[in-house]
Amino acid sequence: MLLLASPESIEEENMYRSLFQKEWIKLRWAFLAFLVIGYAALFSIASDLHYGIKMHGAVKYWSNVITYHSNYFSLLKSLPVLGGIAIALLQFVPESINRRYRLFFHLPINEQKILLFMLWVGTGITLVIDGLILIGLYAIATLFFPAEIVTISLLTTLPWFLAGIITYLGVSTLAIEPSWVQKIAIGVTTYFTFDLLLSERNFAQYNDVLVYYLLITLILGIIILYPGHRLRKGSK
Amino acid sequence: MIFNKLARYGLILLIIIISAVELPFFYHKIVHKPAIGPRFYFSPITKNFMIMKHDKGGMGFYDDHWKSLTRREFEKYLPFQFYRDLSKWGELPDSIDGFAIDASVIHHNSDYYRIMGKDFDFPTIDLYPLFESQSDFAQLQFPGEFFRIKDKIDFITASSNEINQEMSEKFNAALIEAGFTFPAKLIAGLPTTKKPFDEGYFILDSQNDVFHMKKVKGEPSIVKTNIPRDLNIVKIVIQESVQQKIYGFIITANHDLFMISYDHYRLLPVKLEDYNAQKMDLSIAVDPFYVNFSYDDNTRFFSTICDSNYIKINQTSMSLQPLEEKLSEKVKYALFPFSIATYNSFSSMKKFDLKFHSSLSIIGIILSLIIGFMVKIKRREDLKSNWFDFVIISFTGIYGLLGIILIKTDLWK
Repeated sequence: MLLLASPESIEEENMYRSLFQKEWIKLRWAFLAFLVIGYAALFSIASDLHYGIKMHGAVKYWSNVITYHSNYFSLLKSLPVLGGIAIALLQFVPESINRRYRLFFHLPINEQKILLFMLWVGTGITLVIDGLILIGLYAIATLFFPAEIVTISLLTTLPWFLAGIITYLGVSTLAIEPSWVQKIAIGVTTYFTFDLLLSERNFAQYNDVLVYYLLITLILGIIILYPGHRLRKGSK
Repeated sequence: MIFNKLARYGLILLIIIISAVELPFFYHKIVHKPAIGPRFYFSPITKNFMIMKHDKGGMGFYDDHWKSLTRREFEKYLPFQFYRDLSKWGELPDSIDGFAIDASVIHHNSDYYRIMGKDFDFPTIDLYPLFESQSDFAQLQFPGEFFRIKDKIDFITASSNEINQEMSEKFNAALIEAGFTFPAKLIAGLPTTKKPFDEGYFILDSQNDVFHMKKVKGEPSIVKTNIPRDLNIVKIVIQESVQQKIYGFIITANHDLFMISYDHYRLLPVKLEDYNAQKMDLSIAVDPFYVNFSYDDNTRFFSTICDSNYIKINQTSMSLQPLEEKLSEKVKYALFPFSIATYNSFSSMKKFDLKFHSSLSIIGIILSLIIGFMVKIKRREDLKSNWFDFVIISFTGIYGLLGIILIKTDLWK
């Protein structure tokens, strides 16, 4: 039996496609910029590794990484958080200027659905950047180190990338929140949340607790509905 | 509407979680005065304990009857620990109990080991350098390869990041010949060149047999030790010592401590009362006469003294006031109904440990409910439709109050 899509669902699908294009136009330069910055950092890591191994010898370099957990990829640490802030601001500040967000109320799709869709687009773009940087780090680490060091290096970066997603979700929420008091509350909470993920002293120190931070990230994934609702109601 | 409400509660939950991590931590940093525990020494002069301990006026020095001493008097009783000061004062005795001593003798008959609680869950990278144990040179040198043991032993050349097949096959054959069963459960050694010589690695195989592996003139030297299989070993600590009496220590799942002697790997048990390897730090100080096993969990401090043949001769302990009994801690419990700790002093891993405080928390919860009620009245909020806010405060106290004050309720319909 042939299933035909209803005109409403086709319209909704077209609407989401248009929304995606709109978000992509807003974020494409940020996407490219962070990819370029990320790969510049990876290039710097690779050249430091090459130079360090040439100067001190591979044995000494390996030994420092294995025994002292010398972090050869620490240049990547703050990138996801900075990327999260930039993408959230670029995506949501234009919507909050002059309460432009209220235009969504006139679209055929519920504005809360639109808000969540925008958030998923932003999260998706952030994840793609993170994934591409991780692939780059994997390629570099594999060139210089055996599997044990490669694995623990990638595990060590996971909390940093999770901190980036947390920052993106938190800053997106505070960007559209109309009240300054609540903006500050959301900002401070976001800061302390991502900061908790950036205080490692050894490799892979967060392995046992990443699941808790993943749950926190899921909570952050829906809180944007609260300022969205307040905007509709005109709350201050 | 329900999702909008849920989003608000989600934000409040987040504030509760982060407050439960940060507020008790800030309180602890501002209010808590760190209690530094005592240090126990054993005097070869008095044949008894000497105690150094932080007092209100600074560092205090005592004999075993708690008679206060000056620092100089105290050090005179402990020539093995403070021989540099005693030499400077010209007061280092020539002999003790007929044993001739000087700074050099003391130095060469002293050692120090530490086994920290946090060593047990340190995220290790299982690659190890196998040093040449009979090098022609005085200084140990790093080899060009690191080994791993999974279903076989592989030596990886660092400069090329490739497996050295020849060396791997040689050691693989030697391990199999010695009766080793892959994979390894535990590999213990000291991967540094800053040691007087090399004793290689002690490896626990999958059948719980302990093997001693060394590289001698480039060739494998594998010895299957007679260490019993049923010990349930959780950690082996190896530290090369010039005295060459013991290779290191074994700790079992039952927190029993054994020393591995150079005499055919004979195990020397050390009875340490109330020792919990994962929740205590242990230091082992060796001097020409005694071995001092000091261990603590930050509240209870123990010292067990053995003679140079590792026979127990004395022990002592002392407890500081438990944290829970301090006024500052009671105030904390009243203020905060629970806390989330993201670290633990006896672990290397990050934590997310929820700890519920005592029944004193009811005080903070009642106060928070009253404040929450007053704020809602002042804000002219509809109490009936926001009853769940009070449920949140009832369970989370000040954290929930903070969330509810900061994240205002709204017109949901």
